[in-house]
Amino acid sequence: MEEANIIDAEIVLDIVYHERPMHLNAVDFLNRYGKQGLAIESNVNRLCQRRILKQVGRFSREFGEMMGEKGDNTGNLSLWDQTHISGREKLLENFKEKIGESISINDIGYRRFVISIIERAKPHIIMMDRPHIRQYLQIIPATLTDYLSTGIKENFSYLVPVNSADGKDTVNTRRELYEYLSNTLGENAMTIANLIGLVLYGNSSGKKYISINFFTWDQKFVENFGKIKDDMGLERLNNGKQVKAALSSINFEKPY
Amino acid sequence: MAAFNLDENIFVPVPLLDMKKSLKKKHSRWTGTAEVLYNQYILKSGNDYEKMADLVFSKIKISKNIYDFTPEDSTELQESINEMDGRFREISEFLSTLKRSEIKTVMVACYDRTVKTLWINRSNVLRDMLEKHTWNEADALFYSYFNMFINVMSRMVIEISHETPERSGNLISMTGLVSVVYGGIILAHTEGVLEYDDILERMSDLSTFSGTFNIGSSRRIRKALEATKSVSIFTDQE
Repeated sequence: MEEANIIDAEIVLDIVYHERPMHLNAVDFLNRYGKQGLAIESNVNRLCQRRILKQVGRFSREFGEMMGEKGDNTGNLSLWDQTHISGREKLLENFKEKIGESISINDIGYRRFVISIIERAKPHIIMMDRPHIRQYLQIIPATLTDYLSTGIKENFSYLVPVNSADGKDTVNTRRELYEYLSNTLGENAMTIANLIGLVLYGNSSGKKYISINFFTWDQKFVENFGKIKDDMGLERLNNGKQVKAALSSINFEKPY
Repeated sequence: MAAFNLDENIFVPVPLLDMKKSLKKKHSRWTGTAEVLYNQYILKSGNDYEKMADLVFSKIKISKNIYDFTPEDSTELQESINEMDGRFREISEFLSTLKRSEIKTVMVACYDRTVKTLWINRSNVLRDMLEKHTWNEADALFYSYFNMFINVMSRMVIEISHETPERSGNLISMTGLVSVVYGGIILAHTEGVLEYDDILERMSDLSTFSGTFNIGSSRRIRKALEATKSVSIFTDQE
């Protein structure tokens, strides 16, 4: 039996991505535990992947649309293909400006993503014609998720919940808990159900945990967890007593 | 957009076509039935293709991820197929009488064929995407999803083939579910009924266990991908 130090999605992203403002603090934090000393559970991984896919999917669509805009000249060529390499930088600047103007205050993260990807891609894509850029846009989602997965593998141990091959009751308990919590807790529900599952049954490699330290900045997540402890009537669940007991083994800490 | 063709079939965990190739002559009574069912339910030209397609579409939306699948989910899926036509049940029952080693042979052949079919169609998928004038966000993710799915399926086939026949059962069921739930996204896209939320959810899930892989492309595109692969996602408050 050991203690697990598990991190939330924001911390994963801070560590993996050098451009994030808290990257250096996050790396100091990682170094305190050493590589593989911090763990990530499967739903946090899924949430990170989802966030990157939402942004890159939107970027791919919007940039693809810009690529399709027609020029003034006759013929079927797009404005991009009609424009000389020296003018394409201007088209990219226009695209960044257009994105900046059209997005809401809740999309500041997306705007920064677009600026960053355009700056990095610029030297390469100004040399490419439209079909090649569109091909690039079709492959970039897999490339970004692959980079994230590699960063996760290199830095953290990965805790997969016990699966059906190890015993269906463990899966059913986790599912029952997730379904019970999902209306109230939204996307946090699966993470909490998995954390409880890890305390109750260990991970898929058979490792058991006496307690879990979950590192997060997310005050809402911590509040939600408090709600479960206090008044969500977990006793009504099949394994309610064990679930309730497991809650006391999960602690929250701010990371850095 | 040119029709995107995956041998015009649906992936189901009943290895109908492969039975004919993989089973010994003593089982030939069943291979005839399998072929009829294949033509009727799996081929797009079949009279009951839509019934099977609707079943697959309903599975895309289940709120479980791959870590939550149980052998019961596999049984439930098989039961839904059996209820569609009693002959599917006969085939299932016949399969359950086979030796484990025979089942393993048939299933590996079935999934291997699925992977090869997908692999052959990669260039068609890309061509269709590039021919489209505009993309929605599901289109923008689709080719990457398609490659990711091939990667996951081929890894699972390799795992099954390395397992002993005795231990391969769970993995075979799991691969059947994966082929329907995650492969269903491909069918939905082909049929023009794919919803963005469905591909986003399934792809987020699939990317947690797809393993590292590269999608082939020209040197120039690879350079652009290399330059942008580590681009960060930011939080809105930052």
